[in-house]
Amino acid sequence: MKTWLSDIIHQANERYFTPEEMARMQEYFSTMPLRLQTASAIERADPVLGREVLAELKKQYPDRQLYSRPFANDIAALVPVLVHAMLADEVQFVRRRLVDHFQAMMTNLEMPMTEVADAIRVLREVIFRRLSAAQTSVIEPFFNALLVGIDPNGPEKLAASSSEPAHEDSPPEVATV
Amino acid sequence: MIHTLLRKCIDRYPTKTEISQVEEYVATVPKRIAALQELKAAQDKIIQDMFAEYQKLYPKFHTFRPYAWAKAMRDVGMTMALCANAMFIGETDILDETWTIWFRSIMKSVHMTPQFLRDNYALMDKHMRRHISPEAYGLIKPYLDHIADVMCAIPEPIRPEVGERRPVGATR
Repeated sequence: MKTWLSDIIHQANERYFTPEEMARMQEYFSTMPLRLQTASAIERADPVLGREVLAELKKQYPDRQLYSRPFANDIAALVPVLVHAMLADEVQFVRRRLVDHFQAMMTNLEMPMTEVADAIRVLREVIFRRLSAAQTSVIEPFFNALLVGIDPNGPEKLAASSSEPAHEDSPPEVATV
Repeated sequence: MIHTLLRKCIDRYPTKTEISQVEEYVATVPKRIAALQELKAAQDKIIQDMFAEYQKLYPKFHTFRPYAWAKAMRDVGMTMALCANAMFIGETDILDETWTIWFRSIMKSVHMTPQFLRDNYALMDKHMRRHISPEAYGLIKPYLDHIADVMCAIPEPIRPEVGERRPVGATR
């Protein structure tokens, strides 16, 4: 599993970490308690996510036939991947593990992109209701990366381009603990 | 610590124990940075004092291959950097993946003896303890011990290439 952290560790190999490498890691390490609290809060919600997502989808989009319990469960099953990407502060995980898969699946099954993206937005709403502002800030970039990936013209594109993402090449912009 | 956690949590949430361990680790990061910087600053003195003793212990070592002591000093410097980095990230797995297992094969292939390596790590330990603060030493020692344990687990070579050992102490 390749991450920016494993890259630093392997590149250093037989020399001491540079001050820049240590500063990058220290900043990330300081956000770990918040990332772990966020993961725990999401884990507590995990057993009911499928049910709550479906209820919300039926409420917001009563005419859409795509939204069934198995579909809602599949959407909820995305969450552990997003949580792992958030823990690693590695947005590439979202692209490698979810976006490519979704793009192929939507094409092969002729699923409407907007309806899938709306279901993920509902999943995001359901989860965010249970998180504090700080917890939300640390997971939100990963939901946005997924949504931008599968629905490039959706509202997240504007949000993502208007602020620097809290991951990839820059340190996370989250409250430190 | 965190690097290993990320590998374990690919398809599950972190456990309460793992969360507590990471929180404990994060609280020690400033001390780990200070310890790394201390060791880095003291490295030349440690190597100098260590090899003054090591060369007396193995007076014929340099006759077995060109630049034998220079290479040994270089390797000890690398070991100290690896040890300090492992201490900073709080992991020993990465040491074995990137260094110790591979380097142990090299030591076997050039016919080092287990005693020669035990003396190496004992002297590193002794002079590290002398040249850095007790707090920094306490943080680094478990990682040095790990490297020593792995590295010293080699068989006696059929034809040792370290020369006579003069029994002047400094064994683990």
